[in-house]
Amino acid sequence: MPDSAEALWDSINADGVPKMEKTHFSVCALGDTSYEFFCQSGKDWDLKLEELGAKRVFARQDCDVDFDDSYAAWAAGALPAISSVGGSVAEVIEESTEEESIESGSEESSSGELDEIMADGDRKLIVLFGSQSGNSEDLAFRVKSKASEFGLNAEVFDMEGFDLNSLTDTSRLLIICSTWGEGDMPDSAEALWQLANSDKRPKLSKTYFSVCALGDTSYEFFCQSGKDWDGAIEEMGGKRIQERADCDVDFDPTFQKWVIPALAALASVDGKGEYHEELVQSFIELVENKGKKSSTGDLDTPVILREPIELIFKIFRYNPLVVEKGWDTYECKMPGHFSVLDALNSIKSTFDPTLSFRGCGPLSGIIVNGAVVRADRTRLLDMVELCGHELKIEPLTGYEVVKDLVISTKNYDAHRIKSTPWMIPATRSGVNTVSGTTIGTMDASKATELHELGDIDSPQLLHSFSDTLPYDSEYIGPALVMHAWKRVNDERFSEKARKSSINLLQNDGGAWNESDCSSFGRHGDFGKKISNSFNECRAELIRKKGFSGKHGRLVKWYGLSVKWSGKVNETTLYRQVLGPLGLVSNLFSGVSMRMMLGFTRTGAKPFRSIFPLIAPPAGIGKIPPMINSKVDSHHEVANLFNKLDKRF
Amino acid sequence: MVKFAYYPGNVARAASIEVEDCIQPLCSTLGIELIEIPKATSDGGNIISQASTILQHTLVARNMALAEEKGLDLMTTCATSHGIHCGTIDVMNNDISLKSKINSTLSQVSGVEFTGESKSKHLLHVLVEEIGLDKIKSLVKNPLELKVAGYYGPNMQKEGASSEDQVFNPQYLEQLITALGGIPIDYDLKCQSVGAPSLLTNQSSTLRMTAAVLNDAKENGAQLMVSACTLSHSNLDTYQVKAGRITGKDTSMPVIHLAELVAFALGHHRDRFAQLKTRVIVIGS
Repeated sequence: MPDSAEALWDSINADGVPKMEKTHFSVCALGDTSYEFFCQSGKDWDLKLEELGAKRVFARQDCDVDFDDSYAAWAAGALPAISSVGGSVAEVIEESTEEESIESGSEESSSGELDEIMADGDRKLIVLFGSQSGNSEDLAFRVKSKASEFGLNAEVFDMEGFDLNSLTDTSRLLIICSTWGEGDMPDSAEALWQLANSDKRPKLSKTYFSVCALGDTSYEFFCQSGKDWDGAIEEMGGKRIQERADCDVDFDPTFQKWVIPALAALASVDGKGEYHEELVQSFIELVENKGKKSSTGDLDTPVILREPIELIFKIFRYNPLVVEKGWDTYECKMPGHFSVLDALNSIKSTFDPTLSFRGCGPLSGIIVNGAVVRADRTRLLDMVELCGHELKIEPLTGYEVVKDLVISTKNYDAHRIKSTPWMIPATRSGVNTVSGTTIGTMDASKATELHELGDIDSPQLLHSFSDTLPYDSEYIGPALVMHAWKRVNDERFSEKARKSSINLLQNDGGAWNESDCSSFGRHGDFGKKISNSFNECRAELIRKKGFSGKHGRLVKWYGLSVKWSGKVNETTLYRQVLGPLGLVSNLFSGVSMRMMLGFTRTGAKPFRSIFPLIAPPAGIGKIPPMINSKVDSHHEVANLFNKLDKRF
Repeated sequence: MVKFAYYPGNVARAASIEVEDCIQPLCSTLGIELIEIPKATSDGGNIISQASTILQHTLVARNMALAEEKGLDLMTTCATSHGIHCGTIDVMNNDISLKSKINSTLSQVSGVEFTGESKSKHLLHVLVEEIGLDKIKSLVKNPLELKVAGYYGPNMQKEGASSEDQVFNPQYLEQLITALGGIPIDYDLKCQSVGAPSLLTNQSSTLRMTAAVLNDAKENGAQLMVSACTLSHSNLDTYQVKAGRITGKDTSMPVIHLAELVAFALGHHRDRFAQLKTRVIVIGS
């Protein structure tokens, strides 16, 4: 066994190992025929799993040193078999065998040739895009993902900065280009287009190509850029292998019709650059059959349907024209798979066209029965499971309400601008990649930690997690605190920028303005993560500045009073944190009096012990005693503090 | 008879001594045996964690381990303490390396380890789920006959700490108030924080939060507020005059702790209940 598998092998051979009747398996064993016990470890696992009752869905494959082909044969059989598990295993194997035998009859003749051409040397495909709004780029990457099904290795390039001369040895080229304005090239394609029309343009006699042009029929020069590239590549000597597709604004249907034949044709160009037209149809059939066998194609989106449910929506309404607010109630029946946004759209179209809310995106946040959610990503069914059939929908807290559920992010944005959220990079060492690009280096665990800190779907929603925010206009809110905290931890930022973030967190309006981090915990695991990050952030601020200021003093004296007696001493906290002036303020604001007269409200004892008679006012009414008795075995508590944090 | 290790929280034996006065007789009536843990310490109050999360987790784990040593779950009357306990249990269940570090320290210092067998329970969850509302109803001697707003606070309204009650729209306090012969008042801010950990440091926002909760309950018709959190109780009661003065809102309302409410309805401290009712009905604050 390999070292890494030894412990698992021992444990599976120990006594009392549970049965694995519900497990389906197949083993791919790697070994070397020049050794006596060829593939023995894999064979051992295969037998052991069977002994434990697991069901073999596909026969073991023993692979020699050159394992690629054997592995591919095993993967082609084992993966469909294991993915089909759910019904009877026997059925799965039978079905797959049946399918294979039918297919093998019809495809036998061409599959050999396809295999041959796909294994024949260079299979590179260049996909070149010129994009203004991102559609061409998106399509280029969809082409790339589809190309692998034709055995092509697609590489996607933006026309901006592309070296046209690199195409001279290229045998397969696809161009996707949009048209801008009155038949203009996208900005990013302009320089390349100038070069393609200059004397310096290369000969492309070895290149087979096809073009997908994007445009808008409402303009005079529809798809002009794509047409221009189609002509230019031909003039450079390129051979058009598939007719150009001219796509309108709704480009998907035309693109779909073009992409399969274009890829099939280019896949039929062999490693020596020869085009085998007779294989095009076979490639198309191969990919279509694969599509039928798999549950979804890469361009399909599955829809999960749920039964309709009876719901009562209570929706907050605010009319800014008459400055009037209130609640509207709607009783309806809606499919459980509807998002809250679908439900709002339905209410708007059925009952009240004046209902206002934001559409998709991070700003679609609302509050449903106290839960801060994105309306476009939250299913009705999940909300019903969480809080019942009556859904009370309100705008996010911590923002000004513009109308109904629509909030203004003006204040959030103003705080964000003040926090200077842009990157000011540090000078760092880097390494060169194989392709010659220089990149920075960062420890993988640090990178993961940073990524997790910044893994916030919608900062605007996180802003609303805080219970403090609506009552503190100075506070920048948890989203901006987390943003600054991430920056403090990110070594790619300059030292000056990180110091500025520390100051932002430490000063008024920063991390200390959050009055109760535990309120984040209400919002699931993400909320708990934010709560933990707040603690880490505050701990770092204390490390940097010591136990100074009111916040630092509170932490220091709380810790010390627990260390000294095992209990919190509230009078120590009041004295140390508020200071003499604070105590006097409490005296005049009625706080001290209310504590002393606690017994007149609930009939509690006026004097708790003999102590207040000697040293009043502690111990009178609800004013706690000045000195705590110690918990039993108090030395353990002191030891624990000494061991974990010597600052106390 | 159900049996729990008892954790009074940080203030039930100091500023909120009335909780301690009531918990013992109420448990005796309902057949709950409370076992003291004389070695238990403060749970850090979410304050120590601002300097050292591991120190706070270790203090909590030690208390839990001491309950575990007695083979008991730990019951507390404070929602903040319960939330803190559940937080530490959650972290220790999900971070094996931290668990091992904490247990190693505990083993060296106190000779105990927390395996996770003992759970934290809040008095409210014990009353509703383990004692049962029917039994409580049958033992009521002095029906409340008041409009009561229940205050949960944020600490136990999170996944893993709210027991079988809903996280976002909890109902246990309302069900209990009904069983005790009172009329529960529904209001929006029953789970909103009153900023208890920052009472001494962010007093302005904390008092605004406190005033908002009291005023919301009052505007919805509450005559009395009952708090499931001993720490928040202090803000809501002691600081309500100051909160009202700062915000200009009407915040005057008697606020008592859950343990007092149940004890009074079960016939304990009749004089105190009479005094409270007098304040509610005659004086109004």
